[in-house]
Amino acid sequence: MTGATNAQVVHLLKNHLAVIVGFCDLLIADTPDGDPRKADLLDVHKAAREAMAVMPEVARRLGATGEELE
Amino acid sequence: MTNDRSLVLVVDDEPPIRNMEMRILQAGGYAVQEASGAREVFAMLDAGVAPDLLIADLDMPELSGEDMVRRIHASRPNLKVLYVTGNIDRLLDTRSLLWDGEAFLDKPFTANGLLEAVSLLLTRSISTQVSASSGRIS
Repeated sequence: MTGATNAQVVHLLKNHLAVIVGFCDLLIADTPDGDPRKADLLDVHKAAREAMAVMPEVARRLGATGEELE
Repeated sequence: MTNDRSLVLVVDDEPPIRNMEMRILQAGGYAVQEASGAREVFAMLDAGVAPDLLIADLDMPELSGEDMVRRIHASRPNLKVLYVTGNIDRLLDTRSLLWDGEAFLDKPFTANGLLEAVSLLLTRSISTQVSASSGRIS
């Protein structure tokens, strides 16, 4: 990420989170309630959702500007 | 959930995002096609592909989603568009008006958030802004 701007870093994080949350939603929907892996998926989903909730603050603190991130 | 086999064309230069959106839309009952950029979209439309809704990433290297849609709307003014963006605040700072049949979805979003936005656009002819929502596909 050398040379990446704050805005580019935030954009990248949001894209990665979107993929994690989106596919996690699909996997949870496809996993039966009795499957032991469902609890793991729900933990991943919860963590990703909490990361989503933090993103506005991350963007605010970084400024999401065109300045390069050190 | 809407299941009218409407055709949705997903346009994003990032394959993981495109694949994820396609899988969610297919699970929601939509017919889906994909393109990695504006040039591919123009070729598909010229070849006769007739989507009911276009999902466009705003930040694409070839041509921005907004510029791509502007060119498409010149010949297909009624094509509905869902813009996907990771920086909705910056976008709305520069553009306070949404045209009829347009909406924005802020990344990251949930599967239900995407399906709700698509369903709203396809079933209502009002300008709509949709934020990510919680929950699972049902």
